Amino acid sequence: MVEVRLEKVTKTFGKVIAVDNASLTFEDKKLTTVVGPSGCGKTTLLRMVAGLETPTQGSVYIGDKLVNEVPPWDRNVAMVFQSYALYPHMSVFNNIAFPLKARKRPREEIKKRVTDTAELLEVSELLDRKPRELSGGQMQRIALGRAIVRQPDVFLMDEPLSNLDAKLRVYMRAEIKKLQRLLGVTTIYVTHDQAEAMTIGDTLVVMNDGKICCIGHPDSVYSKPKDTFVATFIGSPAMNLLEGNLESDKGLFVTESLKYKLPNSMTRVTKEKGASKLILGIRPEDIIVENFKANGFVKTEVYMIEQLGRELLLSLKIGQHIIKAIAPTDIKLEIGGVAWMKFDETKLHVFDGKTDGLIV
Amino acid sequence: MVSLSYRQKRLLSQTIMYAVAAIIMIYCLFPIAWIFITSIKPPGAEFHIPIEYIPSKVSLDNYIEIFVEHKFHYYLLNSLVVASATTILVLAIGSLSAYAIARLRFKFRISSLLTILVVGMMPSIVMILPIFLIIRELGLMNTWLGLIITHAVFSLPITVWLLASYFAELPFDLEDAAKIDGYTPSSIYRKIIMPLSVPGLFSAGILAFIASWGEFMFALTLTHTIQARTALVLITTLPGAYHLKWGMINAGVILTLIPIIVIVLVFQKWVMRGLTAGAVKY
Amino acid sequence: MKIKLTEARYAYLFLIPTFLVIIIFAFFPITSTFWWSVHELKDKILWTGMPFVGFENYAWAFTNSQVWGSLGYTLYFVALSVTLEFWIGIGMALAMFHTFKLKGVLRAIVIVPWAVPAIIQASMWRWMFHPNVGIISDILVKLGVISAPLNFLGASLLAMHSVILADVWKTSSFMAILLFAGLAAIPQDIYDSAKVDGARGWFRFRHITLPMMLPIILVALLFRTMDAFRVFDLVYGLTGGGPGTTTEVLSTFSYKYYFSYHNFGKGSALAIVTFLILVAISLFYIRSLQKRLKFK
Ligand SMILES: Nc1ncnc2c1ncn2[C@@H]1O[C@H](COP(=O)(O)OP(=O)(O)OP(=O)(O)O)[C@@H](O)[C@H]1O
Ligand SMILES: [Mg+2]
Repeated sequence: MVEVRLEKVTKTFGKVIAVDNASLTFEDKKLTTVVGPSGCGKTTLLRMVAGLETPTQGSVYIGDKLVNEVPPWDRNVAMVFQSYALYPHMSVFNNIAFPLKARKRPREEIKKRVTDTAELLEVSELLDRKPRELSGGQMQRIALGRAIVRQPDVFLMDEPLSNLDAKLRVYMRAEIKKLQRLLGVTTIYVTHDQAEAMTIGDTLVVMNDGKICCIGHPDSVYSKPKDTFVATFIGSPAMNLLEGNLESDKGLFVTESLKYKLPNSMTRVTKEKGASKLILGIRPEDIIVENFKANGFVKTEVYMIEQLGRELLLSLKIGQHIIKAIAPTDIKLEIGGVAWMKFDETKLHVFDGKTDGLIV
Repeated sequence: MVSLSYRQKRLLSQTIMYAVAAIIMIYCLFPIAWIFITSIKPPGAEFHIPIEYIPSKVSLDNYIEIFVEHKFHYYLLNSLVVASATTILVLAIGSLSAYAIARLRFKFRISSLLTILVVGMMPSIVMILPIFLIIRELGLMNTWLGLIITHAVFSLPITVWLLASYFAELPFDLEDAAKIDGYTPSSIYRKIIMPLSVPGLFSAGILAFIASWGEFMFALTLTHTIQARTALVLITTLPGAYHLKWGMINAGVILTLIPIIVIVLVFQKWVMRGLTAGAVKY
Repeated sequence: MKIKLTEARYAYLFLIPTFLVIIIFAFFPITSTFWWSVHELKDKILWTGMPFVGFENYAWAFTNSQVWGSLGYTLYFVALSVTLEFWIGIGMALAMFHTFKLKGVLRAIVIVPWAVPAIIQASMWRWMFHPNVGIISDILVKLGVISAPLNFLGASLLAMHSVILADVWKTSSFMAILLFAGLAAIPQDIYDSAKVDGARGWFRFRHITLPMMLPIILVALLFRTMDAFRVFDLVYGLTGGGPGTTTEVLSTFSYKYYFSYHNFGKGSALAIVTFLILVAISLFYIRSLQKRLKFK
C-alpha cells in the first residue's frame, strides 16, 4: 500500500508562502488531480513529495515512512515534468533506461524493460533517436516511459500535457488515465486546466494561495462547491455570482437591480445560519433562456452572443449585472434585443457574503 | 563503515561545501593579500627572517618611494590613457563592423567574421617585429598612439565577436520597422542599435580595457621612457643592483591591480557576460 | 547630390576601418614575418642586404636541440597547465554553484585572479617563490614538508613546475567562470529529473552534468590551450626562460632571437612555427566541437 500523506506541510521561500499548512492524503492506486490558479503552490507541493524541496514545516509520508529527510533518489517516485526534461544528449533508449542505470540494474533487464515500456507506449521505432528529433507528443510519451519503466511507488506529473495542442491533449489525457489504471500506481497529477482535472481525476484537490481549498470527487466538487472560489474556478464558463441581501420575511434575494424569490427551503436554511448578506450562484448551463415572455421569467437585455459550436454563450444584462447563460444555437436572439431567463431552482447555490462559504 | 542518517549526511556535505568555499577564497586571494602585506612593511623589512606574516610595523614608505623616486603616477597615467583610448577606439570601429556582420546582408559576411577572428588567434610573437618596425617608421615609437593602435588590433577580434553576438539577438522587427520608416543603415545603427546595445558595449569595453591595461609584450617593446611606458612595464623593469626592492615593487603591483580589481568587482556581471558570451548557449 | 547606398555597400563601408587596422597591423606583419623567415637577417645585416635562404631557417629550427627543448617544454606546459586548471576550475565552478549562500561572494572572488595581468602575476609569484624569503618555502618548512627553503625558480625541474603552478592560479579562475556559466545554463528541470530518476552525486555528474557541459568545456579548453601555447609574459617575468633554457617557451625563445640575438630570420621562423601549431590546434578543436555540437 502506497499512499502519500502530507501533515500540516508548509513551505516558504523567503517571504512567499508557497504551500500553507496543507494536510491531505493521496489515496493508494488512485489518480488525484491538483488544480488551482497559477502560482498557488501546486508545483511546490509536488516537488516536496518528490523530495526536490524540503518542507519548511510539517511531514511528508510515502507509505508509512516519513520521508522529509529522504533525498529524491532514495524515494522511488517518478516524475513527469512540464518541460519533459528529456536528457538532450542521450538517445530515447538511454533516456528511458536512465532510471534503471542509476539503480545499477543488470544490462539484460534494462534492455527488456525498456523494450517492453516502448511497446506499451507504442514508441518502439523511436528508440534510436535523440530528443531533438521528436515531436511534442512523442517527447511526452518518452517522458512517460521514463517514469513507468522502473515501476515506481508514486507517479508525479506536473502539467504534463500543457505543451501539447488541444487535440493531442485530449487524447493523451485518456492514455494517461488508461495507463494509470493498468499499472495501478498512486498518481498525483497537477494541472491548471480544470476541465482536465475534472475528467482525469478519481479525486480532485483544489488549491488557492498555498492552501488546500477542497478535496473530493470531481462531481461533488462541481455540484457542491465549498466556497465561491471553488465555484468560479471549477467549471467553464464560470458560475455567475450575484451579491445581495436577503429580505428574510418575504424570502426575497435583493440586489440593486434585481429581486429574486428564493425557494422556501433555501430561505429557511439561510435564516438558520443567520446570514443576511448573500451571494447567489448559478451556473450558465442552469439558466433557461427564451425569446418570449413566460411565467416566472425575468426580462433581460442581450449584451453579447458568443458561438461555442454546439451552443451559444449569452451575456445577459439586468441593471448592472451581466449574467452568462448557455442557450441552444437555434434560439433567435439579437444583440441589444430582449431575452427572458429563469434560474433552475434546484441548481441554485447560496453563499455567505461575509465568509464566501456555501450555505446551500 | 558507519552509516549516517540523511540529516547527518546533509550536514556533512554542507560542511564540506563551506570548507571548500573557504579553500577557494584563500586560493584566490592569498597571493594578492601577501603582496599587499609585503608592500606595507617598511622598506627592507620584507627581507627580514623570520618572515613576518603580520607586519609589526606598518609603513607607506614603499608607496611614497615609488611615487617620489620613479614618478609612478605618470606611468599610471600612461596606462590609463592607453587603456581608455584603446577601449574607445575598438568600440567605435568594432561596433560598426559587428553591426555590418550581425545585421546587414552582404556576400562576405561569414568570411569577414572569420578573417577578423583569425587575427585573434595570432600569437603576439609573430607580429612583434614587423609592428615594431612599422611603429618606428611611423614615428610613433614611445608614444601613446603607437601603443593604442597596437592594443586595438589585439582587442578588435574579441570585441567584434562579442558585439556581433549581442547585436544578433536584438529583434529584427525594430530594424525592419525603421527601414520602412525610411531610415538608412547608418541612422538605424546610431538611433536604434547603439542605444539598445549599451550593456553589450559595456561588456566589450571592460574586456578591452582590462586587456590593454595588462598587455606587456608590446608595451615593453614599443615604449622606453616615462613618456609612454605603462605602469606594469615599469614594475617589471625596475632596476636593482644586487637585489630588487621588493617592497616597492609590490607597492607598484598593488597600485596597478587596484583599478582593474575595482572594475572587475563593480562590473562583475558585465565581465562574466562578456567572457561567456557566445560560449554558452543551449 | 546624395549617393544612394545599398545595404551591402553600407556593410562594406562599416567594415573598412576594422579591415584597415587589421590589414596594416596584422596581415601585413604576419606576411613580413613569413618573408623574413625565409631570409638571412642577422644583426646589422639589415642594410648589407638579406639573402634569400629558402627554408634554411626552418631546417635549423627542426634540427636545433634547443628549439626541440623549447617546443617540448611549451607542450608540457600547455598539457599540464590546461589539465590542472580544468579540474581545479570545474571544482571551483561546482563549489560556486552549490554553496547557495556564498554564491555571490564566491563568484566575485573567483574572478579576481583572472583580472590580474600575466606580467603582474609573474612578479607576484616571483616574490612568493623568493629563494630566501619566499612565503611558499616558509609555509612548506613550517608544515614540515621540506626542511630548508627551496629555490623554486633556480633548479630546472622545480622551475618548470613552479611556472605551471603560477599559471594555473590565474587561469583556473577563467576556467571556473566559463564552466560556472555552463553549469548555470543547464536547465534545472534536467537536474531535478535526474535526481528523481535515482541518480546520485557522481553518477549524476558523470552522466548529466559533464555531457551537458561538453560544448562549453570544449570552448574553454580551446581558448585556454591557445592561450597557454602563446604564453609569454608569465615566463618572461618569472624565469626569463631559465635556469639555462629549461623554462624557455616558443614565444620567449623567438623574442630572444629578435631582441637579444638580433637574428630576425631565425626568430621569425620560430614565430611562424608557433603560429602554425596554433592553427593546427584550433582546427582540431573546431572539428571536434562541430561533431559534438550536433545534439543541439
Ligand atoms: N524556488 C523558488 N524560490 C522562490 N519562490 C518560489 C520558488 N518556487 C516557487 N516559488 C513561489 O511559490 C509560489 C508557488 O509556486 P508554484 O510554482 O508552486 O506555483 P504553481 O501552482 O505550480 O503555479 P503554475 O501553475 O504557474 O505552475 C509562487 O508565488 C512562486 O513565485
Ligand atoms: Mg507549476
